[in-house]
Amino acid sequence: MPLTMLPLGKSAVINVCRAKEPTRKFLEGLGMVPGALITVISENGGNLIVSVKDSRLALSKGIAQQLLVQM
Amino acid sequence: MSFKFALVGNPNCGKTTMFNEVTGSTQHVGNWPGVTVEKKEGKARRFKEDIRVIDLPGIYSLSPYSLEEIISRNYILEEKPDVVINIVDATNIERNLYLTTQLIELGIPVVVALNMMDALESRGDQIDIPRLEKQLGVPVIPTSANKAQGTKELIEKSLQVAQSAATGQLGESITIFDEQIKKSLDELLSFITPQCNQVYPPRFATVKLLEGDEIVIAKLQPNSAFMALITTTRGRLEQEYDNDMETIVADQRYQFISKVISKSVKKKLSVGGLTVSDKIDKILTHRILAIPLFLLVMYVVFTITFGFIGTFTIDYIDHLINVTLADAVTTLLHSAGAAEWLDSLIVGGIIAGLGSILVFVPQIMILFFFLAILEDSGYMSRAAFMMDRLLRKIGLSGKSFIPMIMGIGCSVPAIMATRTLENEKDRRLTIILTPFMSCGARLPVYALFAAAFFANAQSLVIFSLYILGMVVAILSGILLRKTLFKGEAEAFVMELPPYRIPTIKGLMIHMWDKGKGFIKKAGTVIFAASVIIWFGQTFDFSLHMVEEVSDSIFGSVGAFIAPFFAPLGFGDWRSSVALLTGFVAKEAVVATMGILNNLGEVGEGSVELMASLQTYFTPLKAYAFMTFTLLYMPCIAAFAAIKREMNSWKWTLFTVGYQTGTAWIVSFIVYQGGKLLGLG
Repeated sequence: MPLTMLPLGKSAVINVCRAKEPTRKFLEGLGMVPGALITVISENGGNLIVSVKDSRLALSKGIAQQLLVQM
Repeated sequence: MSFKFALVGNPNCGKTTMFNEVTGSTQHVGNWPGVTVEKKEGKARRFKEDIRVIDLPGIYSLSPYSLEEIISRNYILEEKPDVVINIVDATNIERNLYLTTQLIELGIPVVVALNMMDALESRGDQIDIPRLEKQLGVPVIPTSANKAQGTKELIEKSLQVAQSAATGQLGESITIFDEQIKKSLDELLSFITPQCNQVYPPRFATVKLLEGDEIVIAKLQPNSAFMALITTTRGRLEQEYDNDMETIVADQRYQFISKVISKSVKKKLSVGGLTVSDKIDKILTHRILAIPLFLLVMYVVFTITFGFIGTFTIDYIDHLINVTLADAVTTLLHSAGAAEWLDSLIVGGIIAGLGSILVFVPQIMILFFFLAILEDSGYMSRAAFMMDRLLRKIGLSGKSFIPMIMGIGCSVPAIMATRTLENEKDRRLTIILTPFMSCGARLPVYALFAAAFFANAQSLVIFSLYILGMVVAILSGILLRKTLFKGEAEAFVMELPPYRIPTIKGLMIHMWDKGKGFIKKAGTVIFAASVIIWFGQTFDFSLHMVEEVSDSIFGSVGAFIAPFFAPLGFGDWRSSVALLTGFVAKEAVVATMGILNNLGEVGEGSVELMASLQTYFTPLKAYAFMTFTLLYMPCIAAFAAIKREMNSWKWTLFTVGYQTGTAWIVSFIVYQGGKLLGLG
């Protein structure tokens, strides 16, 4: 399911990233690779603050929709 | 012997703090990504060797995504520093080591500074350093740059490494990839060595070719046979691993890292728990509370800056300069029997000109102090996150928010801060819009006119101009997105640093770093401008001292361009000259007004200047004048920054033309509209 559907405070594992290439590369540098554990910390109008590998990332809704996760 | 050490690391890993500690300089450290937009250089102190230390912009990987990553990557590859000092945030080691695994491949000696050890220890975690060294194959030095711990050892170690590298004793490099990929890389490596050795380190080049990095391919131009081999290898691996090549490579790097970490990092168990920072985020970025809280913060900042505290400092300094100092100097000049023109130059020119600016320095400092708190605490990046949704509606992303809010301080660093935007269109659009955010230098103009014409509603009028600037930026954003910059803003991804309580020392450095520019400007540019303005209004074209200012050089020039401004309500020659000098620096508008209205008189306070302005301005005209000052082309320093960042004359001229045109139209609407409503 897309990351946008993950409830607040819940964790899941990243399955696939469907973002365009340069964005995907950037996300990989930030630790968002398939297999990584991701937790939703806060939500604001569809934009998310997530926790990945000990750091906090802000994502716009568009990106969150392209990240597929598995609980 | 001289050495070059480059500091490389993720944003917010303490790189700039380390740089300041090692070189003894006071570069500003912020709590959001993208503070170091240009590389900075300094000399290591307390070492007899000549060591140059270079602070590079923070990057997450060596894939060229943003301008900063390109700057850092090119520096390392082209300048070939003797040692790359990789600063790793120990509290966020897994993510930080991703860059480390790429740096190791470069074949340039790497020393890892395991930074923020104090924070790690207070968390109760432990890292087995000798073990980590062995696994990474490079020296690891524990440091806490903010407490000056371990920095000496770090430089000593780097020196040692640089010296042994110079004699060709590099440590055995380790392998990150699994057998299968390593085999494929080795195969490619045998093809690559002869042609690319000069340009790129071979190990790095093979990985990048396999990943399909366009910059590397364009530079190396592999022949068709080699290119075919790369493509088949990639196809084969992608099929076997059932993923695309970059993801495979990234995945293997992270696998390598988790192996390393599982052996050498001992975490006190606290899995899944929310940190203090997370709890604050739950409130400050709450979906309902976030925007009201943000507005409240901005309101507090503005009321303190422009309310009684700001006004008090202005009155105090005004008295000090325009009464106490001016009187003392006049008495001194009289007793020394100085010529009348000298008295006029010093008191009517320099003191009036400089004084009109200096009175605003404390207020500008207060504003910078608050901006520093917002930045250093980490709130600014949250604000960017919250604003993303709104900014997206006008075709920008949340990342444009930071340059724009910085523009309230000064347009120059704000324009430079647009480098964190990856997308060229987004960047250009943000550069065009940022100067509409009213900068600190424009504040004196509002303060003067608001006090003269809106005595009962000063802060409201000033506040309305800030809002007007934002509204114009929003409308321009929508307009330009629909015409010149078609398309959508780049998706928003940004790391949020943990909240920190700003230190007083940090805030002071930060405030001073930004505010000193204004004082320096007052002492140089405004000083020179004051003398020129005094000259221009004291003499005519045949260099005779004039009785009536309207006969002077400025009087004639002003009268010539005044008709351009007449439809806006301020077709007076003095306003025209003031706006012209505003191109030098926006504060000069006030300095010019001060000088042009105080000719030959002594001991004038701004009260007199206001009275003089009231003779040829009405409140409506004053508002139109402030509107024009808010929106027209920024000062010469901002112009230079725009040229540098746009890297194109066409875009630069478009930007200033667009801004000045907008200023004319909006002022026209304000003045003519106001007249129609009977406000004239």
